[in-house]
Amino acid sequence: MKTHRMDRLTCRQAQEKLFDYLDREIGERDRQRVEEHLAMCEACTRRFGFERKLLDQIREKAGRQGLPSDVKRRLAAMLRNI
Amino acid sequence: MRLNWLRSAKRWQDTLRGETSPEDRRRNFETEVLAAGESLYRHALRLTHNADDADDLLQDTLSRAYQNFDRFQTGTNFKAWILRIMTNLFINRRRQQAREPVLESLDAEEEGFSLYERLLTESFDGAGFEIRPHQGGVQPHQGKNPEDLVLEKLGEEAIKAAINSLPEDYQLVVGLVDLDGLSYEEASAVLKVPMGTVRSRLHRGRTILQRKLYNYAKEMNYI
Repeated sequence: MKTHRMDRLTCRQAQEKLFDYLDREIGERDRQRVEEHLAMCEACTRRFGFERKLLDQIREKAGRQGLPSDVKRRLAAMLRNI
Repeated sequence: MRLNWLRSAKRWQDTLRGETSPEDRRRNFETEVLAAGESLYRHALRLTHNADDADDLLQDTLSRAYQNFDRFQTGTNFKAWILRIMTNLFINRRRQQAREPVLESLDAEEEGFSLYERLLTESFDGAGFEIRPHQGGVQPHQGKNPEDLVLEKLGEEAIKAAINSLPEDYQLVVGLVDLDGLSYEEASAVLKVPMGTVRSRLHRGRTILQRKLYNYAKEMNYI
């Protein structure tokens, strides 16, 4: 479904929805409006792409570390003692 | 009548969960805990800021969660469920100690800070992201550009240190959503705050984080 011309987002409005869009916390209609804006706006597309990549880097580098072996041992001991 | 209905619903839930014995129940619980272990430990550390206290909180959380495991609904997010138990225990404990949560406000320079805009204004001529609406939205080009290179230079330790230095309430939300992968709704349930609060703390937390990463990149002459 195409949005009406009057319904199109400005860059500012699109950027206000940036995190909701990247986090997939946005309604279907707003998602379409953001993507229609991005399809027409190279500057916002670059900005959104950068922010996506930054969030991916943060999750990759700080979010998937695995438990340290001493913590793993303590966790296993805790489970045994429940 | 209602009691009978509850009992049969409980039996049905046990059947769905495949629990026929205490051993199975325990095994299921351990499997779920081990899968969520990293997020649990990280959340305990974020709450307590202290390895010993984190261990105590983790231990108490496991005991409480195991006691209430029958109430966990199969098919829902176990990680979000047990993180909520941990947060409740911590909040109750802190309430007893009469400590108020710390929530710092952003200063004028942090408000509206954008790492991307700052990089652009510092002589970068970045090129190229593209939108692929049918493949999950916006995606970066494969080729490297200057912003990509700065991002890649930000190491694990720098990112972790920046997150750990966020004001507490921002750190909790950033941790749950950005590191543990919870939805806004799940984070809202874990922290017992409205969704709007999760959204605003997350956005502000990310803004402060970007400012800290920018300062680090500047110090390291990446920019």
